[in-house]
Amino acid sequence: MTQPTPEALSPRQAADLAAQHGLRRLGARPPLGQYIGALWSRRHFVKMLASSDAMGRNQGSYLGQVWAVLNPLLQFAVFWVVFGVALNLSKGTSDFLSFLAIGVFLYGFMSSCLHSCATSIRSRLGLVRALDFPRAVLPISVVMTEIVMMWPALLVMFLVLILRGQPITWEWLLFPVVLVCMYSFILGAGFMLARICEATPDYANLVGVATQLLRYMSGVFFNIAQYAKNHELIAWLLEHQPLGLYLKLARCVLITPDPKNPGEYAHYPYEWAMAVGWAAVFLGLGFVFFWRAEARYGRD
Amino acid sequence: MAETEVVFAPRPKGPPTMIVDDVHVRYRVFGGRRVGATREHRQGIYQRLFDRTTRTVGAMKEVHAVRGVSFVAHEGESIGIIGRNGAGKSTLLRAIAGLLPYSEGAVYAKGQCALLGVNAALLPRLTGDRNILLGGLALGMSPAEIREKFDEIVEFSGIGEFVYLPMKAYSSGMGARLRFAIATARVPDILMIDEALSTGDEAFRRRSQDKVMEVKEQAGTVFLVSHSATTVLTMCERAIWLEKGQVVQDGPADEIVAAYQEAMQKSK
Repeated sequence: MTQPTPEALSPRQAADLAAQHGLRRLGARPPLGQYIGALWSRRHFVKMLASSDAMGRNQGSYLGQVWAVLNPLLQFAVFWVVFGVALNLSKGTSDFLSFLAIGVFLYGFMSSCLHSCATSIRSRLGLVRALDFPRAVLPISVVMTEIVMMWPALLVMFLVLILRGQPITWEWLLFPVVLVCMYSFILGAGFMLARICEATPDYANLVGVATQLLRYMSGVFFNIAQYAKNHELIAWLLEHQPLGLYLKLARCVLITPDPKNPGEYAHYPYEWAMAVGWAAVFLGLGFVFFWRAEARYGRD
Repeated sequence: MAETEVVFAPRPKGPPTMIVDDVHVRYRVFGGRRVGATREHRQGIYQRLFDRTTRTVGAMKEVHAVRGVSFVAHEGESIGIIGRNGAGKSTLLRAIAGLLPYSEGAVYAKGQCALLGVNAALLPRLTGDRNILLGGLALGMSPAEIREKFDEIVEFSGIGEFVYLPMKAYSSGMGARLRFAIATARVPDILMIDEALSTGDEAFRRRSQDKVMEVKEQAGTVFLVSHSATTVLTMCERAIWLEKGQVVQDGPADEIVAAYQEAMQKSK
């Protein structure tokens, strides 16, 4: 017998033997830097996963990809009839249709991102169980899918703005900044949700309630400032929580205010700093939070 | 303990490629409560109502599937894992491939592991060629590398024109072939095959045997879960017999398979 009986190894000896022959430990969380490197080397995988997912989304119906435009249009119509016409929440908001279009489409993106991130690992359990890759690929690819799927909605949104006679101004150039901040923030929040809902699937049921609640708290179809006149602090908080802030800034840069009420869509540098801050904080914390449980995904 | 009785294959072994040290796997099962069909005594309506609720609320059970498995695998070795249904073979394989988190112990491995399971379907809605791309990318290959190997993968899988159809349209054997071809496109250091050969035909079996030989020649290690004693005997020189998540015997394939079959005969 040339080798010692392997079964008699103590954990310490096993680790030493592994180190001696250059074996790496499996099922352990890799260091953060290494993890980011592995993620970067899978960037083509993320892209491919996202694009095939986007393609498959509207497959299996007669109208196919037309639904990508039709869905947001119909949704927009419902909100307009219910909140603009029936409940008349448009009072005091100049160009309510543009206001509503921006709210509905951007919020729709954020809420579907949160939903799909929550189930991103469980819905791809087959892949997780078959192949070894950094699991952060999954939330990232889901958000990328949503970003791709969002373009038809954005197109409809700009169509509404132009049909409503909104002038194209230099400020429109700031809109991509809002988008990038929003993408980063939502990815960070998505990382957190993905980990929480993977460990305890029950929370995935609450995501629907949460996005419903946030819909009202972010002023998707009414102007928060108009309705919370006597509660300035609450109004300020609601307008500056991340989701509300991104909607507000998007509206500020895209809608030119009525000359009678020039302060309506005013925005300040500190709000832009906050927009970037929310994005950076959520993305950083969310990613680290997700990475810390890397060795535990795919249990059960 | 049985360690002292372990008999090793006579030829000297290469350096270790995988060290498995006292691995335990526990997993959660949701919705697992007895239905109570066997209960004979009559209960009051409240009791029954309560039972019905507790059956569906918080019904989570932990299954301790692998209970302290240790072994060392070496370069050029092929190891068959045998045991009854539910002995923990597949779970063990997934855990040591780094795909299923284990709760205790440690697994050390050299290089890249590839696991082939029966139901590890990649993305059934997508076409075969997209699955090849995705599978290759997930394994860390570059797009150029995949393009280069694409024809080879399709040829090896032998599915021909089906490669342009969604994978859900494949027969189980075709799916297994394609997955095998993807997973071995880049020769892995450790190849694990979980019953994946049982759905293939004779031609595929021969090709996969060649692949197994290739892995072994390149100083890799092969693990094979199979219910067929002949498959284990022809493809493996070492066998590990699992029972209720623990190793019963570990040694030369012919001896272990014989002992296992004898035990199965007795328990009939």
